[in-house]
Parts: sequence; structure tokens; C-alpha cells
Amino acid sequence: LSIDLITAIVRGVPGCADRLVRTDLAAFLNAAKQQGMLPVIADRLSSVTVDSGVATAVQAEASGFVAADLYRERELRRVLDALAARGVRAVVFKGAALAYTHYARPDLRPRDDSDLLVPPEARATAHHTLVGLGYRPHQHVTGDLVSYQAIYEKTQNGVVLHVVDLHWRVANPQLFADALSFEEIDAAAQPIATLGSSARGPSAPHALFLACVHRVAHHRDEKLLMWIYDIHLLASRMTAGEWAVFLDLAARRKMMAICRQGLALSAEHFGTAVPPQVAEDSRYAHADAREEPSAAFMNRDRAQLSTFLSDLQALASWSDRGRLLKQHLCPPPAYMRQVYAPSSRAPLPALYMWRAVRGAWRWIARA
Amino acid sequence: MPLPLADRIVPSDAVVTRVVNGATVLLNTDTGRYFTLDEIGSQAWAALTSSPTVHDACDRLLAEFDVDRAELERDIEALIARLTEQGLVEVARG
Repeated sequence: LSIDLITAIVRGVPGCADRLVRTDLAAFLNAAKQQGMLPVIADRLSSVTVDSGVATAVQAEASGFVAADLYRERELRRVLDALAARGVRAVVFKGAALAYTHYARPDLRPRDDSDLLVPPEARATAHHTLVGLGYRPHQHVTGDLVSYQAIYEKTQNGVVLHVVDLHWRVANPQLFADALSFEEIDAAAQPIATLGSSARGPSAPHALFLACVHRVAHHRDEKLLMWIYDIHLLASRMTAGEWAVFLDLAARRKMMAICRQGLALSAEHFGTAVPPQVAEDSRYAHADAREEPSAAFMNRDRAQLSTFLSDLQALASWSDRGRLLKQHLCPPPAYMRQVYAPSSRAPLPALYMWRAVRGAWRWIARA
Repeated sequence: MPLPLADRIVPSDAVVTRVVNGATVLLNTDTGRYFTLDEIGSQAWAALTSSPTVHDACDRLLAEFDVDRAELERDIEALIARLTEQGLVEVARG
């Protein structure tokens, strides 16, 4: 019910204000927050006549988003300027870019971090730049085939002020890692003036493609309204030429079924109109999930083991497959110590054994 | 503190702002505290931080609002005191 009301408010369906008065407000606000839609809801309700008690409750819930975003914006500008000064070509992508390119105000798009894409060879420079700005890297599984991202956090008095998610490929599953290369995104990137002279985000077709793919590849096909609304905003502003680029890309990378599903969800929840040139394109209209390995990820119950097997299959050589297996099974001792026994002297073999047992259960279990 | 009519009001380096539906959110990034100015306060903020002197800002606001100069100057004085107290602005001597 709450999901229906959220999308109705966003779409401006008449009578929503009356429905809000009759609904369980706490449950509604909780759902809006969990779906990443609270700031947009608060913004929509600020322009319609609504019960004063409801308006006050909604605005109170949403009030912190602006302040948090102001700090994030200031930090992100510093990071981008510093990376540019060190010669790193970074592209802001996902929610951090869409907040500036497709939302009326950046605080309307909640996000936990700022996603940056850099060329793989610039990773070390980017790391040193972030550390120099006071960011601390998160401990994560190392291994050049396991993860293509690293998280950096800046805190003040124990409070997290800004998190940078540094990527050198667009996704971790091997099947999606090269769905769009840095070079492709970089070549078509568009300026984001609000974030400074060096700030750039993906072109509209690339951003739409990433919005469709990211939800499935990184979040197990989670149907969070915020991500679907991203797709709606992107799709609603595409030109005919941009749709053509998007369709070519989705067909070439064999990810059309995923893209079509993203647009279908967007149409279902937000009334997105997919233009006839797209709907009637045979590659789109007749996309066959059985012919696209990526479509297997459109499954909330997919076990992690399936993703690992897909990773093995997607890698080009047996030496890479062996390396990936080793990186999963035997992370470096420093990582094992910090993650599994930060304050004990448990022997390393026992830690590896514990990781294997726990990991096997998690990998086999379905979501 | 008497109203510094000949002085200029400069936003602190630590302050970032955003206009949201006519209101202005001010964040002091040093303290992490944020404040919201309503629509009238937002117009006062805009006039104060973009005019060469407080006197000029008052002239601009007098042209926009139906208020006498004495009352306006009292309100502006209180606003500047509050903004200064919270480290949101500095008074640059004219």
C-alpha cells in the first residue's frame, strides 16, 4: 500500500493528500525512507495542500537530508579537484551524478556514498590522493579479480561525513565488469558544473544503461523505488539519438533483457513512456533472456555460488580462474586477521578454516 | 552591538548554503550545525551577503518589504548577531 502511495504522490495523482491522512503515517514514512524516496515525497508534498500534521511530520523526517548533502557536496568538490590536480581523470557516476544531472536538487537523491570511476592505472594515485585528504580506506578482500572497487571514509569526531566508493571497473561480477569500460564512459562524459570545472558524469545513454544494469548486477535484482525512479528520470529525457546509442549498447553487450526489465519497472511504477522507436525495435521487443547470460542475474534468490560460477565462466583463461579461486579462498593474512580476529591471537589456519566453512554456507544459501 | 551600517557581511568560509523551496539551509561545516532561514530570512541573507554594505542591504530590503527603516534595522541587527554567534558570517569593516 505504501509503495503504491509513494509512486502516486511522485506521479501527482489527485487525492494523494487525502489518502495520506487516512494512512498509517509512521509506516508510510518508514517505507518512503527505505525506498530512498523520502526527500522526493517531502518535496512533492511541499507544493500541494496537505494536512498540517502530515506536512510537519514529513518535513521533520526529511530536514536532515539537505544539510548532509551540503557537506557531501563540499567534500566531493574537494576530492574531484584534488584528483584533477594529480592528473586523475575521474567520472562521477550512479546516484552521485544523477543527483546533479536529473534531480531538481541533489539532496532529493539519497545516497550513502559518492561513486567515482577512475582508469585502472590511476588507482594508486587516487588512493594516495584520498588518503592525503583525510580519507581512510575500508578493509576489503584484496585480489585483482575479486573486487573492482574500494571504499574510503572521512570521519570527524566519530561521525562519518563522506564516503567515496572508488571504482576502476563498473561492476564486480565478471560478466558486468566490462559492460562499459572507463574509456567508453570517459569519451562521452558530460560536465557537472555544480561540482567544479573538473567534474564529469556519464552521458545519458551510458547513465541509463548503468542504472538498469547496476540494480541487477550489484543488488541482486532488488526493486528499490529510488533506482527505478532514476531509470524513469533518465528515460524521460532521452533524445532519439540517445535512445539509439542505448539500444546499440544493450544489444552489443547482451544485456537487453535487463534493460527492458528496468524500463518495464519504471513504466509500471512511474508511468515512463518508452518511445515507439524503442518499443518497436526488434532487439528490444524480442530480447530473449535465454540468449543473454546476464539475464540469469534477474533473480532475487540467486545464490552467491551461482555468481562465482558465472565469474569463472566469464574469465578468459584457466590461470585467471585459478587466481580468482585462490583470491576468494585465501585472502592475505592481514585481511584475515583484521576481519576475523581483530583482537585475538587465533592461529591463521583456524581463521582460514572458519572463513571456508562460513563462506560455503553463505555461498550456497539463497537470498 | 550597534548595527554596522558601513560594514560588509561576508559568509564564513565554513558555510555552505542551498535554497530549498524558498527557504535557505545554512550549514556550518566546522561545527556540523545547520540552520534554516524562512523566505523572509532568505531574502535578508541574500541582500546582506551580496551588498557592499549593510546600509545598502537595508535599502534593498526596504524596497521589497512594507516596513519602516527603524524596525527593519532592528531585525537585521538581531539577524547579524545570531549569524555571527553561530560562525556563519563575519563582519568586514567598511
